[in-house]
Amino acid sequence: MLSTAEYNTIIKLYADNLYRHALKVNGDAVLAQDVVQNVFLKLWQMRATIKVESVKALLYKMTYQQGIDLYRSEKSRKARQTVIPDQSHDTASQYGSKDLLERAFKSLAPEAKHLILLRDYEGYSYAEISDLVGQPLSSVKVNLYRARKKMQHQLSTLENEVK
Amino acid sequence: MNQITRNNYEEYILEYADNALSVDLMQEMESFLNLHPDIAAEVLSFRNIKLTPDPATAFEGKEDLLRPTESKTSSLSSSLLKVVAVGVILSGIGLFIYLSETTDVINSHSRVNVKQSATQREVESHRGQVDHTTKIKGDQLDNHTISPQDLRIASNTSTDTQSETQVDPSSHDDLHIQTVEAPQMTQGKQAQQVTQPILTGPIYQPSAPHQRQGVSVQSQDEGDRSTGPQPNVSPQVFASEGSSIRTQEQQIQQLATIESLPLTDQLSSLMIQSDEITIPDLIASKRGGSILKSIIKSTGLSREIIVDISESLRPSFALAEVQLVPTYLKENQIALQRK
Repeated sequence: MLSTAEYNTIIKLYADNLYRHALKVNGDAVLAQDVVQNVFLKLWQMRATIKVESVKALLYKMTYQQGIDLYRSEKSRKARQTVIPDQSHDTASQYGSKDLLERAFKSLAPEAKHLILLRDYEGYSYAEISDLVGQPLSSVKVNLYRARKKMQHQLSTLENEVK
Repeated sequence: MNQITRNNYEEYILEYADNALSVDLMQEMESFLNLHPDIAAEVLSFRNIKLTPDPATAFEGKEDLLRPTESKTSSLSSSLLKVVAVGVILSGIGLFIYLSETTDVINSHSRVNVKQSATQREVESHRGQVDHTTKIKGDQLDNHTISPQDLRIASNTSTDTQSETQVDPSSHDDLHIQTVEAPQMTQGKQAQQVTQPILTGPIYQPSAPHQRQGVSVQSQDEGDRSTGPQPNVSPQVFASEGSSIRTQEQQIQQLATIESLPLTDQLSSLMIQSDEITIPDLIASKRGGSILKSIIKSTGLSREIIVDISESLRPSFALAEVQLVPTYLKENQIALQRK
């Protein structure tokens, strides 16, 4: 059971992190805000059955699910619209290594982004990530490895473009 | 231990990059990477790839998500309020018990007054509707002015009492009340006859049964419980003698120091010194104005009514009965008005 004070404390502690996480996964600030608002709205509605110690994992689980749902609906909407080519590649030389890394990250699927963010941003162990995303531990390790491998491949491509 | 192959190396390679494998697995992974240099190159390439959060990126709508909470002050007030409420309830229970004990004793003496008031109320509410069949017996009581005006009332409202008050419609000027023998007596008391009048007229019978001026007073309840004959004592003795214990001048002097206290405290302070006090004495004093105001405030009665009641009935009160002053005045209001 969450009290109102605890709920507010949780917002102050995790709202920014969840927003950054959602923004990274979805790449859209408005979508990320919607995700965070929906997550905390659900948390408030479920507060009677929630334990404080399990809140953080629950928040990221809900953020992941919300992000995936919104991403898919948004992807479906964009697919029906005229695709405007991304012109940012033309100015690739202005990016530093961190920018290239960000662009490489953007090339990943939302599920892969989510795994990497849980590991890099939040420092969850593989076992904890396994619990959060509901996948077997071995699958989490393999998926994370493949996500990083793809990221590395994309980064190499971008670096070659810059050169 | 599982053998690391090209089919399962992905499960171990991240932990190898993090140096999180056990010693045995580390050795096996190194042996595996020596055999597969392409995979070793992958490990080296993404070992340094790690995302770091940007603290500048913040959720702007955070404040809108916050829910209003009780402040610490209001929470403290709430707790304090609960404590105070419990205290008030306990105090109320204690006061109720105290008043019940005191009222029981007084009621045993003044039962007639209560019965008279009930009878009068019944007369008023049933005027013109009550059958004129009751007759009045007994001695005539002084100063009673209930004039049933051709009404006859059987006062059976108090079933627990062992006497019955009857009103004779033939008397239009004064009320005549007699204590008649109770129709049912408790076991072992059949031979006992209650001789104490249950209607004593305008005199207030104060205090619990105790010795005053050498006269032993016993309540009607106690009379019911006792086995021997009970003394028939006129309560007029108390009213006249009780107020003579201390002079009015002494009481007036005491009033100077207790003027600012509430009515109960004023009277209580006097009782400590004088053992007994009358309302007329208080009102007649130099400080009587403030005391009268307190009485008016406590009872809601007008000044004239309070003075009339006090002068005509001259009730006297002992220390334990002080808080009954407002109740007494209210109970005697109807009788006085009808007078």
